[in-house]
Amino acid sequence: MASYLIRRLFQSLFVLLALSLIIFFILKAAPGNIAQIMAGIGAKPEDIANLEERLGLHSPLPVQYWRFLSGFFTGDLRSAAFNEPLLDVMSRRLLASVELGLVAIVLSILLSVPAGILAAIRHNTLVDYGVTIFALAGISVPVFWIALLLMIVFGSWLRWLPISGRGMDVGGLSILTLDGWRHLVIPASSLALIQMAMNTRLTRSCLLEVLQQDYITTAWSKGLRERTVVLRHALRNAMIPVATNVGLMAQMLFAGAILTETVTAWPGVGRLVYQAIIMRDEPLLFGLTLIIAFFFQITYLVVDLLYAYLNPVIVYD
Amino acid sequence: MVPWASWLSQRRFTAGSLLIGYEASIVALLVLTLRFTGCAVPPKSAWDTLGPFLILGAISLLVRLFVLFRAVRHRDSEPGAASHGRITLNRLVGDAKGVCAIVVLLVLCYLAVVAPLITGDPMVMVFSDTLRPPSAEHLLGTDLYGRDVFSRIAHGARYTLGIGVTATVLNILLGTTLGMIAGFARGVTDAIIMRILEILNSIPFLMLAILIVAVFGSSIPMLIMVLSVFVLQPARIVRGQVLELREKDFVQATLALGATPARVLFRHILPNVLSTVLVVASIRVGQNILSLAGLSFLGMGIAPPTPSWGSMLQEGRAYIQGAPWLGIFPGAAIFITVLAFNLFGDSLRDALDPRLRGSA
Repeated sequence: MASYLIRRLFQSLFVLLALSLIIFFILKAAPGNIAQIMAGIGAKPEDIANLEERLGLHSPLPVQYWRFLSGFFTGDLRSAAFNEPLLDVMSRRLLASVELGLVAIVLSILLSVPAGILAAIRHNTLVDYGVTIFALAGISVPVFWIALLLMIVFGSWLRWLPISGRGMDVGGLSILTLDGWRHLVIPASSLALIQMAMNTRLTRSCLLEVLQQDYITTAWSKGLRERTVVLRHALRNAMIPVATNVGLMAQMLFAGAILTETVTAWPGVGRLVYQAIIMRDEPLLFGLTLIIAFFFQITYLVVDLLYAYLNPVIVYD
Repeated sequence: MVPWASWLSQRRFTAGSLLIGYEASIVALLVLTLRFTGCAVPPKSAWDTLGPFLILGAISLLVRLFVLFRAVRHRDSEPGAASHGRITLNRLVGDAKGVCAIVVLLVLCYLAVVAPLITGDPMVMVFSDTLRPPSAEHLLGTDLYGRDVFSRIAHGARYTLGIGVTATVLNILLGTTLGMIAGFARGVTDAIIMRILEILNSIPFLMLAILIVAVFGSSIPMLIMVLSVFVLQPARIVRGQVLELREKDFVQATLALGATPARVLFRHILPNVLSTVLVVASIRVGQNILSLAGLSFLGMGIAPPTPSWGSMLQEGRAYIQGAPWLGIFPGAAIFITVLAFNLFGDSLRDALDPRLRGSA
């Protein structure tokens, strides 16, 4: 187990390092640079040169790369556009993203697991077809369109909800205030809908598979009630893939919501990524990529460990 | 039960023959329209001329495969344990699903191909006619510049389907090759390919796609490249299957007989992963269309004024209060197209591999 963890750790380190190189070279391969964008159209060449000097764009590429990488670990990496340390820029957005992601995940689990169970135990009935079609529609719909539709219906026609943004209290937690909740409804439910659809399909198919196994037939033949067979015997095994899927959903907390956050003007990490790309903010983008990739690696590791924990048949050596 | 259920289930090949008839009639219709009306809008690029034919070719290929596999499945299926009503119901839903999907896709393709003949120019701006709601003259209304929304959606279908299908074909070719090599060679080769997959998997795909398009500029070849090279999920699936197949007796026996690895891969392993690849492909088309729409929505996809569904939503977003049709129709087009591809994939999976039925 310990050797497995160490091997995984080295693999993750390799992935992060390779990714940082790739991102760095993509950024440097681009025509133009941030100095030209910051100086604006029609800026004097000497202004641009000054700006380039200040941002350290004249050093050789390996030196620039090393500056980025060491700056990332010492916390010296500063966003060029916001002129603030990376962590300050990120931490403000992270709260909003985590909040949105958590509400969406909880909402989608609460709805998808019962729906999947219902579809599986009523296999090949109208209920099953209804759930299946709904889930298929859910994975086919563009998330930003759902957000737009909700904005049209609840924001524009009914005027129940604010159309976009996060409300007055941007610094704090939205879930603490009524106004915050009202702002949260549209982005969270559009995000949840997509996740819900995937999770419903997974729950249904896993449960269907488990329900066909011999030990379930045994449980039925012992004369147990449906509730006991499904919820106590079948569901436990069927939930293993679902649990790992929920683990992967956690990736959404950090950057999986670029489209949702952009369309609803939710000030989260996803939108920050988009802004950083638009503004060609190289240090910010470099740092953001590494942080996001780091969280992704952690979720993969946690999911794998969770899988082994829930399913003792699997042993990592 | 629906009244026509028993009628449909009694005629086993009804769906298949209906489709062939439908396909033939579309081709005939196409030839006739082109012959007698002439092109209303002269094609602007090679894409405008070639695109429709590529789309039509790809889709009709899919249709033929689908019909073929359905026929095989019906031949092999034996009415067994379940009641007759249940089997009929199953088959009906299976069939109805696939049939609906194919009809929708064919209508879309037809729309894409004949768009210049049945609608006006999607680029013409009429400033006296801006932001008009849907009417008889403008079926789906007009946008900010007085351009006809229906015409833009119909022309947008060309780019959406063309890029979606082309990117998927390339993606599947690349993914299958990589996956087969990784699974068959194992060892160092496998490790290298898997590390590449892991690197690509370590940040959200959309983030990488936006970055690349933002840095290197967005053009149709670039979009196809991004959508086909950086999604390597098919490789992972194929690799898993090849790893399993490789240990099977028939593969080991062929190797022991002295067959070259290339022969084993293409003659013995490829046919066994092909059905999975086809299913993955049909689902990937939908996913690619969603990604493309997302990129266009963020202003990183097909550049305006070229009509594209994603950028139409982006333009309409600011006017959802006064002109909601701008936010509704292009999105509905994306939704219907992706849904049709996903339905098709589901149905194809049921037909090809009943063991996978109902899995996510």
